[in-house]
Amino acid sequence: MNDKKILSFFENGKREKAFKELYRLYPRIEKLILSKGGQKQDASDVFQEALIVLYKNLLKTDFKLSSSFYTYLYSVSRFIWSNTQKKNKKTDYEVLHQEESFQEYLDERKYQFAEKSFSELGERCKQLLQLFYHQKMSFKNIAKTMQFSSDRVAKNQKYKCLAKAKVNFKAIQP
Amino acid sequence: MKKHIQNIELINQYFNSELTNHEQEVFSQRLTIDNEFKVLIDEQSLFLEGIKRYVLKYEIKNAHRTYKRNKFFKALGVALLVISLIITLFSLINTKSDTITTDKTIKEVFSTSSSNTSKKATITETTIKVIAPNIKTIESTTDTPEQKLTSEVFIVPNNQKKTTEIKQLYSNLKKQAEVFQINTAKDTVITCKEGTVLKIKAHSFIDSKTNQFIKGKLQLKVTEYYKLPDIIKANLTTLANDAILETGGMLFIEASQNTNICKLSSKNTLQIGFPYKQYKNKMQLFTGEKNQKLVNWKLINNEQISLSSLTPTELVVNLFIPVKQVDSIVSFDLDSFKIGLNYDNTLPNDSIITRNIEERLIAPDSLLKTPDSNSSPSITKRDITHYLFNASKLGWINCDRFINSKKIKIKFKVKVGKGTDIDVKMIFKNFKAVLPGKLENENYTFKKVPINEPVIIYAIKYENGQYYMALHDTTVSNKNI
Repeated sequence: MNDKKILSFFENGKREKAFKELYRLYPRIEKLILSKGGQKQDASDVFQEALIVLYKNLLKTDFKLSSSFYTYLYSVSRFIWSNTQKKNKKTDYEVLHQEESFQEYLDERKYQFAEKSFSELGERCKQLLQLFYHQKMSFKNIAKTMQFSSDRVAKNQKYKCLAKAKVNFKAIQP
Repeated sequence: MKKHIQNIELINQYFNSELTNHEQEVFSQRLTIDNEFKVLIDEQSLFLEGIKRYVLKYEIKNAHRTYKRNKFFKALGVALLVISLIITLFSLINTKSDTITTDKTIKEVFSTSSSNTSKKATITETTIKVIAPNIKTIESTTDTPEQKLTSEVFIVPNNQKKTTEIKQLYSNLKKQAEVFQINTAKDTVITCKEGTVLKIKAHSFIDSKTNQFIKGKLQLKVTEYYKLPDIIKANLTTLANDAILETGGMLFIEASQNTNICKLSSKNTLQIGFPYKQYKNKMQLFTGEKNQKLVNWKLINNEQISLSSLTPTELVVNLFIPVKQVDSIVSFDLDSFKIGLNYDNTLPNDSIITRNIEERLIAPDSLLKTPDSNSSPSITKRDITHYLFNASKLGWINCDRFINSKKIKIKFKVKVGKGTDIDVKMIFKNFKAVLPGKLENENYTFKKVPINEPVIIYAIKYENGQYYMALHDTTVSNKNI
């Protein structure tokens, strides 16, 4: 019942509302992480990651939620936690490939660096790149909202920001 | 550099699927050949995913924040609800159990006083401890009905038919009334044994049933209660509801013609003079109502006649401080009292009561002594020897004044041993007042007693066919706390 409601939130683009509902499950996930030797901050990070994985999977047309949100998030969280624990050891990829969600998570691991390199940018760069890539705004409109003198300036600024992000990315990549 | 920018733009268009079919074909072909271009695409897509993650994370964090805030407000709401519920419940219970809490403090006080070893206890405990010499044997069968009777008196005191042995004692000790025969056709002045003066106008009485004027002679029975022993023996107390009265004398007046009871007609009054030895201000007339087993006095709006200087002032009865805690406990053991009275279906020797009470009252510090040695009062006051009142009713009549003591009022407890057929009273030494003890949790309590007042605690008890009496001098204090 509640799961259906959350799904409909996702379908209607009300992501934040859906995430808010899903946070009801957080205390139980937190318990799990704490029982496995994690801290509260770890639990929070793991759950966030699990939510991202869930959302990314929901976007896939062939994905079907076979269990409840709780069961799904629980297993994903458990995997993420054990995976971060094994970070330094060699990961057994054979096992990991079995489940699609877990593969999704491994992809996310790569994206995490990209995200980090982006978040380390200045506020203005972040805004500009978000407007362009996320909201798909034209340079003309970006120049208007961000008060650039012309769309050309906005365009140039965008490339500079992107180049900076690339530098960041290379710096943090292992 | 320019080429690089162009490439990125192209990749962007590809991701946004803004390319035409032809362009897309070229793009795909280039992807297979140009390795450098492929790396660029991978890089770009990785970066795009990074931005997506960033945005997503931002939303999740926001969601988490609103979730936490909602949870907090929900918890706050619940907490407030619970608190308000508790408060209302508590206030409800509190108003209900006002008396219960005082009882608790009574117990606490008592336990501390008893645990303070015998040193303190002996101060407050009774000075009279004589063990009963001859306890009469009594059949065990009479014990049970006796207990039943007594318990009923305390639970259902209104039931007048059931009497206890103590009640019977009081009725046996009842003072003999003086009987006067008066002619209703004439104005009459009567002076009673102890000095009460009654002025009765002609044609004052009517039959209480028919309301017809009484003609001819009628009998007037007057009983006077001026002395404290007489007051005690008649089971009289000086309370107007909760307020303590100092009495200037009590009367019980009855009028009858043959067997018909007579009363005063509404137009006529009976003028009463209460004799006094020492004048006291603000005396007022009260009538008595037989309430349960005791007489409660009610103020009549009847001005004291005679001197203009004696106009009664307005009464403020509610000045009494409400008593919330128990302040003192006197404990004494009736079981070990001397046998005051023998009761063998004959009148008990009431002189014991009289003698004992009088002995104690004539203490050197007592103000109840005859006021001869006192500083001379003004001439006018000395001339008057009676408080004069007009009474419109017969029955119990009392000449009293309120003891508006400024002293703190406390609740005073007397602990008596087991037994139900007990009567406890408090006799004040400094003024003529007697208070009845009220049974509360095996203790006899006196509410609103002025502090530091020297008193005599009087107790009488019937057990195993014997009467026991106890008298105990003490001072009202809260030192036990």
